[in-house]
Amino acid sequence: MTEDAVSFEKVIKKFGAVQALEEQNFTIAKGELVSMLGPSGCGKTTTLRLIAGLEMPTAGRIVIGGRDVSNVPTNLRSIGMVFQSYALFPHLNILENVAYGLIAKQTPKKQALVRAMAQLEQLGLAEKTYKLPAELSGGQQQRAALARALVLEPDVLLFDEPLSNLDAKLRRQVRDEIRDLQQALGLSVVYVTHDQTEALAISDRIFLMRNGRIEQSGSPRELYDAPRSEFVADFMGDANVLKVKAGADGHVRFGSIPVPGSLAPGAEAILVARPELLAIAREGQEGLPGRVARASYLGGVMEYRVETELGTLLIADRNVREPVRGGSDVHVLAAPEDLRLIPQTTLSI
Amino acid sequence: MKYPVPRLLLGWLAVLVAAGLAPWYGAGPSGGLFALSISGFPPLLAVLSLVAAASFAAMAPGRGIPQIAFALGAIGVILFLPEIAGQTGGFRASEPLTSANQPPIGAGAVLTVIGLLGIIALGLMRRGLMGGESFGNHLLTFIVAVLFLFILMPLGEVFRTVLRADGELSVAASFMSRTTGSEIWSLACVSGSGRCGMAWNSIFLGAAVATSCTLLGLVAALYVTRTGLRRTGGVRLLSLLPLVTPPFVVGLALILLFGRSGTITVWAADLMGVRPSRWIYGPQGVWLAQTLGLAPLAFMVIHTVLLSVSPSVEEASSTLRASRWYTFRTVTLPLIRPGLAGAFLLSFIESMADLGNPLIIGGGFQVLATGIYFKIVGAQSDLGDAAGLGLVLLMISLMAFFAQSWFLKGASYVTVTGKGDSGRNALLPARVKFPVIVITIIWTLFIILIYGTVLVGGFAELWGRNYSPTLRHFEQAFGVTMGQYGIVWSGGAWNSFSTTLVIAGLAAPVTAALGLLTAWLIARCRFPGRVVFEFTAMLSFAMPGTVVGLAYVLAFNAPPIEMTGTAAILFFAFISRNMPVGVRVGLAQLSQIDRSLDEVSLTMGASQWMTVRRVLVPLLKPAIATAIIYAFVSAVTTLSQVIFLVSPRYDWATTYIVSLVENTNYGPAIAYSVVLIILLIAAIGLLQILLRQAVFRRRDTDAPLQPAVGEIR
Ligand SMILES: Nc1ncnc2c1ncn2[C@@H]1O[C@H](COP(=O)(O)OP(=O)(O)O)[C@@H](O)[C@H]1O
Ligand SMILES: [Mg+2]
Repeated sequence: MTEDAVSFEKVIKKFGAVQALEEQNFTIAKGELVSMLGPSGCGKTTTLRLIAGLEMPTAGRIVIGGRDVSNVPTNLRSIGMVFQSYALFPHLNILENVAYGLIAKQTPKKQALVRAMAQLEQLGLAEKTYKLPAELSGGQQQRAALARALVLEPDVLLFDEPLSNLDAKLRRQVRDEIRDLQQALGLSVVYVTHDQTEALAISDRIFLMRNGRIEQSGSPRELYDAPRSEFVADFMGDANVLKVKAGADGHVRFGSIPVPGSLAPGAEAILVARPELLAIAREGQEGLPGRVARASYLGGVMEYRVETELGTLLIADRNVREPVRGGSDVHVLAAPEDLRLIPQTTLSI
Repeated sequence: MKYPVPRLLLGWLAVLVAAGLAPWYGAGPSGGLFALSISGFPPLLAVLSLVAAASFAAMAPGRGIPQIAFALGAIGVILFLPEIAGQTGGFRASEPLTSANQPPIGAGAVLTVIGLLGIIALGLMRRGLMGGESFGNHLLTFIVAVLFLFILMPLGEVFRTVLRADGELSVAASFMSRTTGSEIWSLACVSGSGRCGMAWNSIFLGAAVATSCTLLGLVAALYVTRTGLRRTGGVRLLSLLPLVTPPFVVGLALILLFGRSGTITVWAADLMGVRPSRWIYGPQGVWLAQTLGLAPLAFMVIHTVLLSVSPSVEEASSTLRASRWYTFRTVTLPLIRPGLAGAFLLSFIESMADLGNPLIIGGGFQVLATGIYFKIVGAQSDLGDAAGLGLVLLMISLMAFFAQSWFLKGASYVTVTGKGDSGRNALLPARVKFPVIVITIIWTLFIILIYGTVLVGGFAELWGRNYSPTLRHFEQAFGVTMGQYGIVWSGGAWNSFSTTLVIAGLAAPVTAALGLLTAWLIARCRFPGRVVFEFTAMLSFAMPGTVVGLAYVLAFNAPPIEMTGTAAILFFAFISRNMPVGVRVGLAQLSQIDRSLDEVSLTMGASQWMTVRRVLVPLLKPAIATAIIYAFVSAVTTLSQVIFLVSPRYDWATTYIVSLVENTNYGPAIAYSVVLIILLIAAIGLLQILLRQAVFRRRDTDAPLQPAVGEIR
């Protein structure tokens, strides 16, 4: 049996009267990278801090590496955490920062420094050993914070929005570095972010959270392609979310295109369509008729807003050479399998 | 399942054993606890304490209530049994030892109490408070004990004394006569038919002083921040001088200048051909002295608030076509209004608490502080009446204190968000700028005059009569001669001077540590009753020095804790009174240190203790320096707090100086003051140098982690 890295059993967290987390049940396997994704205030950080022991659960059990740690203080848990601000100690040099945890765990000082040094070399920071954190660039600080957590070989590594203090270019690079390292070392990682592309790029699994609940969990592809709610669809990237009604035959039609799936006759549902999977046709009678309300040139794509009988649709079209003018009458085309129906009953308010 | 033995358990067992061997009583029957079986309870207590402590060796988490209850009870018995058994006023050695007739406690009992506190801390740890951390639980237990013993209990004693029946009178009548007499509350002076009561005198004086201080402070702060003048360092430096001076030194200088044989009085009298008068003695003199002495405080508060007004709002106003005057009136002033209110109330509280100035230049003008003084040391001494006055004074200052906290809380909306706003603050309009410059210059000249007088005064043969230079006064105070058996410290000041230095020097670091650690508990730990804890820790801040002194006289002059006349009583008085400053500075600094630094340390397996020692202490260096300096300066310069607590053996610099002034022995008094001021400046400079290390800058604002001086109070 493979042990889970982390598991939450009926964990609830309240801050006074505020219910930050509703009952949470999940497990994170060893060697897995799980992202906690969701809008600000949904409870991602709280979940992470519960794993770290920086918050204690109001109810429920938290197990890390097979050990029940529900009442174990942070400093006795086998975790490592990289903070949003990196939280490098400004008065200690990089080597001392990395050796800090080893020394806290009573490792002889010399040995601690040797191991810290080795960790810094592994992350390519050997030249910065004796620098103070303030002398490092953002990316280097980030890596130093990572080295500091890694050197303790924790059962689970926690990241709280680690990229939010980096500029856009660096973000992509550091993101990939984290993923490479995680795979190379087989680390169990919980990664908090509010950026869905980041989550999509890096995760084995994503937990999409909303109002203290996990709204949907699954692989990046599942979340993107098969959202189970309007919220998920909307959060996982641009999406057209349309209120539709089934006809007498229980089917929903997208103009002339039948949408897969059947409903009760007259039932309401939500139709989800990704903008990049819709196409625009100037001629022909196929698809959903509409009128272009706005056409914007975005460099790589044309973005159209098309008014149709189902509502306004956002369409991303690769054809930038011959853009459609605003005001033109067009038809919107889609492959039936790219149109996804979400029955109304599964919607949360 | 085996549970680990708490690491400190052995230490506490050792303390309890040592307690048993040390003399239990401070006087009377001697011998260690194990040898004493006289009044029954001490030996039993010792055995039970050891058992209770030992029971932690293998205790499961979540337990520990009986041990805590036992320890609390035992402490109660040690400290209050004689009280409960009806002891009144002291130990009678001729009578047999009973639970009522107990000598003051000694080292043995003190160690036992410490050991019992250790048991409570271990119990709380086992209960899982603060994640079961050893450091936090021990700290909390001991700080609560200090707050209880040295703040709440003395304060309670004041209440009890006020409520004690006076002779034939009932409790209520005694209480009323002590707190509501016409001596205190008469308003006769308003109708011109007599004198006002002390309470009104204090309030009127306080209000007048606070008004003038706030105005002066505002003017000086505007001068420094809004006139665009470069050289403001001089003003800032001079305005800080009064802070390192015992408050009454200003009053003393005023006497030298404006007293009957004062330089200026004599000169003006000659000029106009009138007889020199004693006009400076009275409320006007006290007002002038306090205004000059306290305006710097108001300046610092207002300066801080003015600095925190984001330039962008003033710039925004000017882009909206507002004139400078309109901007000043409608943007700047409203934004600093809470700061002005805070400065006003602070000056008010300090004026109410000041004893020295009313004492030396008040003439017959009586305020509450001097009222208490005369009720304790005067001819008709009456502790009950003194306590009544103390209570009135305490209530007025508490009200002002709450109002101040309330206003300053309101000031927080001016603080910048952390993202450093660039831009320049608006300059003052001309019609404000010129008065500001003129008033500031006059004020500065006045301060120079005052301190110049003090400096020169120490070297003048006889001020007012004979200005020929002499070192006589310094010799009289600080003379050192070579005697037959070596150096003889023949100067009259040496005794009080060395006591002051040693005790203030010992108390300052302890005070700072206690205050900062309290701040850490408040800011970084979670435990039930935290709000009450914070309130109590800040309470002594609002207690005027005379009230603290009075409370200590009442609480510690009889067994079981008898400390009157010792150095210890001074030490504890300083610690409890000055600790809140450490708390404030600490809270301000901790709020600037991102919590994630502590948290990351915990995630790496460091204990709380290691986190505090290796992460927070290095980052808090400026706060530590500030707290130590403040504690030292305020201990050295206070008069009101020590005046009831000193003894011939342990005299204080300020009380010694005041006694010289009262005997119109001005020469040595000034000489002593000069030495004190120079010493304080030197001490502050030295500490600054010792503690000057890399100042860490916050990444987002690049603002150095220096505490704003205004936050000291
Ligand atoms: N220490 C706290 N005290 C009270 N409420 C808190 C505390 N920490 C978080 N919360 C609340 O819990 C909810 C979840 O917060 P958080 O986990 O920080 O969200 P996220 O990281 O997803 O933005 C929010 O509503 C927040 O206001
Ligand atoms: Mg968060």
